Amino acid sequence: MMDDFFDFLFTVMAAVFLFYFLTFTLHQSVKESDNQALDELSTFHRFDSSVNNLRLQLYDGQSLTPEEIGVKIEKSKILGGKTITSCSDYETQIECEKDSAGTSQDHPDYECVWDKQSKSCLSLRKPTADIK
Amino acid sequence: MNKKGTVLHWIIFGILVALAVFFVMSKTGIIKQEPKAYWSLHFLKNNYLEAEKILLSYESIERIIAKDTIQELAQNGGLQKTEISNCGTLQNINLWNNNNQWCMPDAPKNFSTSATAQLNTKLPQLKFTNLQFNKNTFSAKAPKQPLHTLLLKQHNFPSDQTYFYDPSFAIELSYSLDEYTQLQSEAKLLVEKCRNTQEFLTCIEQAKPTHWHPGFCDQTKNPKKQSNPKPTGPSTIDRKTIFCVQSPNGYTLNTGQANVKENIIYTFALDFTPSSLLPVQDTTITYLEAKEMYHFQFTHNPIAQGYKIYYTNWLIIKDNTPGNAQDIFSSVPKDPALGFYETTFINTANLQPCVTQVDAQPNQAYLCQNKIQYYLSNPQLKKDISYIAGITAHTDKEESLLTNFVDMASK
Repeated sequence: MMDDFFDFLFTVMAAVFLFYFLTFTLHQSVKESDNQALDELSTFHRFDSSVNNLRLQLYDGQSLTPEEIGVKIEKSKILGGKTITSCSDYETQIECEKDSAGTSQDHPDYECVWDKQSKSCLSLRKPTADIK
Repeated sequence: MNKKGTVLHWIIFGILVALAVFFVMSKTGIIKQEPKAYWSLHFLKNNYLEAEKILLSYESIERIIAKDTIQELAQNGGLQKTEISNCGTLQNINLWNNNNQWCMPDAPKNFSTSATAQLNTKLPQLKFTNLQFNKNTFSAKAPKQPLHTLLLKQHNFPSDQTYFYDPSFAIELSYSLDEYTQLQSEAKLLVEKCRNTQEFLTCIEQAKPTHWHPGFCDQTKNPKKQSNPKPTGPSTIDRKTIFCVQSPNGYTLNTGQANVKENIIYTFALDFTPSSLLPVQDTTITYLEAKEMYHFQFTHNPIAQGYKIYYTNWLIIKDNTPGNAQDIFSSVPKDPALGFYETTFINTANLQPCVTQVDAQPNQAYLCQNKIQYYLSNPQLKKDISYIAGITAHTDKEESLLTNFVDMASK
């Protein structure tokens, strides 16, 4: 009689264990898959916004070589929900001068400079003395 | 425990062992799953986005081509860099007219030819057709291009992806070739107004629109942008002059830097050769008491082969000017007792080098710094009678109008 009770108890515990264990494992893998898809989607959105930013840059009259396009898109960053591809994407003087996205990293001769007249952030060549 | 219970136990143990083996083998303990929307994301990233990047790079090239072509045409008076105007050139600057012939450039056609050549060089894989620049839109058609991408086989998708993108473009620029029509009208007006004036440079200064500047464009301001070699001679030769004209509509071109624009400057030359022989208008006459000669002085016209000096005592014909000398003098009475009328000819081939008044010979013409000095001596001229004189220039084919008479004061 006692054997049957322990068998029953063992079976129930094993079932509970298996239920939670399998649920956790499967949920984790589904979550992982979701995260992966969301990451991919967010990268796509960043790249897509970056392409639009660069297109605006072209409309604005700034030059853009085909070689630069791929690099700028890859290196774009999202800051405060906004995709930053180049200096002109900064909207405030503080953001512009700080250049948190490091848009000028690949061009050490250039820096982001706030133009008070047009109230826009420009990528300008550093004064010769500052170039090392 | 009965037999069925034992089997159940073993099954549970078996499952637990299987799970343990799975954990040991998988290391992470997570069951790998395909990322969701794999096909769609792969398509967006590797097809759509790639095509957008390609189109963006094409657009950047197309914008540079448009800018370069606009500049090339403006600097060559609407012609391509390699073209020379049918009207000739002045200091390597294309002339828009030559005498009565106008050689206005077909700017839209030249733009299309030059831009097509550049597109074929820089983007040879795209066979552009129907290239045009209407109003302020630069556009061309091109066949759709395929973009193939391979899906990884491990994801078991049945086929490769092919995405077609359209490289045809229509780029709006802050410029229109219609500006050439305006410039050509202004050029025609200016030539019509100033070609038949002796002092055509003064006329140009007064009649030209404000955005027109006679002379070469200032190369020191933008030496790299000038396609023409540095000028070595004057900007005006033989009534042909070079103009540097700013865009009348204030159009500018992008320099590649934000907020920095470059003015569009047109360079061309115009010919102000008169449509007919210019009349002699600046005659002065003084009487040289000591030599008893009249001293005529007027500006030399390089086209003229000779000059005719008409002088008479029939003063009322003064009112018949301007006009043809023959018509003006037709009213002078034939009877010498009533009207005195004489004509003297000066042949430019016989002009003598400049001398002082003391050394001047009677009835001889001298060329002194673009001025003709003629010393008239005629015993028939009486001191107590008033005479007037008028001068015309002439060639083999024509004689200029007689526009004014000057008093021959002998006192």
